[in-house]
Amino acid sequence: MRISAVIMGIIGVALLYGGLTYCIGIAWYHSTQGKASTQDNNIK
Amino acid sequence: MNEREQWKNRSIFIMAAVGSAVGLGNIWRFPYIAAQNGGGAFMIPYFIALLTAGIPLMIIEYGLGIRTQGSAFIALGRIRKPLRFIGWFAILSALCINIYYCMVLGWAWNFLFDISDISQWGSDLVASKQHFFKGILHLSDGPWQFEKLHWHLLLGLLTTWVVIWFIIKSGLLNIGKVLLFTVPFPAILVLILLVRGVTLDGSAVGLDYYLAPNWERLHDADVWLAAYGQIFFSLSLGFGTMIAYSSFMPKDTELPNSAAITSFANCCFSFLAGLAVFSVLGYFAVATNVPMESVTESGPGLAFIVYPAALAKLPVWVNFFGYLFFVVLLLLGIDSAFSLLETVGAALSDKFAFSRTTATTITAIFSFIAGFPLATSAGLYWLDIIDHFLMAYVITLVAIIECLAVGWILGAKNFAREVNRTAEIKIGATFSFLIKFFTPLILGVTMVLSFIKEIKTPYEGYPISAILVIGMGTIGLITIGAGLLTAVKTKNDADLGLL
Repeated sequence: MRISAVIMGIIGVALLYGGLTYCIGIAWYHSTQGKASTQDNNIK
Repeated sequence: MNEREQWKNRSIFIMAAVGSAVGLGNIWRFPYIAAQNGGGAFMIPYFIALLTAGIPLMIIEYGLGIRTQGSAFIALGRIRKPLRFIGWFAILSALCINIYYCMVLGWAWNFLFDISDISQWGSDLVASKQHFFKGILHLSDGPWQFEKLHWHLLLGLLTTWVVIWFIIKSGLLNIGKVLLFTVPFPAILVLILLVRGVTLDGSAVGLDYYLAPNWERLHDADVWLAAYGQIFFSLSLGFGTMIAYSSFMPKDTELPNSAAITSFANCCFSFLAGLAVFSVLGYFAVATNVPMESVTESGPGLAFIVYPAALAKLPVWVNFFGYLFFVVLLLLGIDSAFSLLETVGAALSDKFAFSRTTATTITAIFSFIAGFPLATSAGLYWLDIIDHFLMAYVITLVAIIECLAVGWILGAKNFAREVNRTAEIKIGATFSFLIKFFTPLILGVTMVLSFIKEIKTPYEGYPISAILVIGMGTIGLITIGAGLLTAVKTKNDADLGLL
């Protein structure tokens, strides 16, 4: 497999899965810190 | 008015939205579009499109649903009463999309029952094509040659409608339970397909084709438009589904981060599906000694011709992986299909105060009967034409109007202020710029280019009569239907202050 394809695969994973993890992390942080505006906003 | 149901919690709501967004297109459209538009380099415009159009549009739809606690016609009607028409336009588009979407799932049921013979009918591309077009669809020579109604297709269609009707009529709590299975399970199955794919000889050829970057293509405006088109179409935006789903959440629900999670999850699945698809196609290309270009297809051709033929060439466990693939297709399709049914059912309940069961049953029976032409020998042609016109014009137009209505009439600043009260990620000036100018402009350009292309050459070379009657006719029917539903006055309209 070409190195450039491997690098783009890694970049794709980093951008998309990194973005998803970041957003879930924020939601999780707000729910554990009691910062979620309501119980309904907790991500469990 | 009936008391509005609510999702159990935010996680279930996000899962429902992801289930709706992730559908057949993630498997059969994204990998092809990526490979054709610069391979790995496509990731750059795709990611930018996600941030600048996908997430802002998702925030708008979530915001409209949550602030009005109603379907698309209520959500838009509350901004300006005439916009109720656009709301119904979106809802009726969802109805039409579901009519043919369920037919595609009907094909998948038929394939599932044919898997035991996959080694024969999928022995090569010619045999696989013959099996799909003649064995399953009994395809005629043109859109006006219906020949006859095929009972196996009708049975597949009926099965899909019974399944999604049963899920939706059981209420949001039960839908939540179904989602706990239909959302994560296909991802696990795709992972299994991916592991099988990358361990095959030749998978690197396919992955190179999918991921090796062609940076030159980034100078091409078409590549950027393809990225915006892909993001927009794959997120289930513009036909009121996200508005309906979010209307079942309390008014103080967090919005921007929920929209971002939904959009990212959808794109993650697409990327993963691309790896699973191209690793197997690479193996197939090497095993049959043909170039990648000749095994790369988009749409039903990929799912029902090329991929099964590739699976039939696997060294072991051919049937197992065949079942796995069609179960993935069905699971992916079913939660998108029931979200479309919910969109229409919820709107009928909001308008006429029908119970969930009544609204769902009326919609399901009507849609099933309306799907009969798709179960004839001309079905594929009808499906293709209707899909093209709805996607290229109707839902794009709805999304443009949503952006302009929120950005200019409701006021992007007012909207952002409302949203930011409970936001985990605040939105501001960038969001305002995107929804007032950038996103409508990009969507408008995509629509105009599609129209210019249409004028130069009729879509896929179909006869003008078919384009006018089937394509434009569907848009005409949706317009008339939306006009009638807007004009009819009900007690609920009065209660909601929409008269």
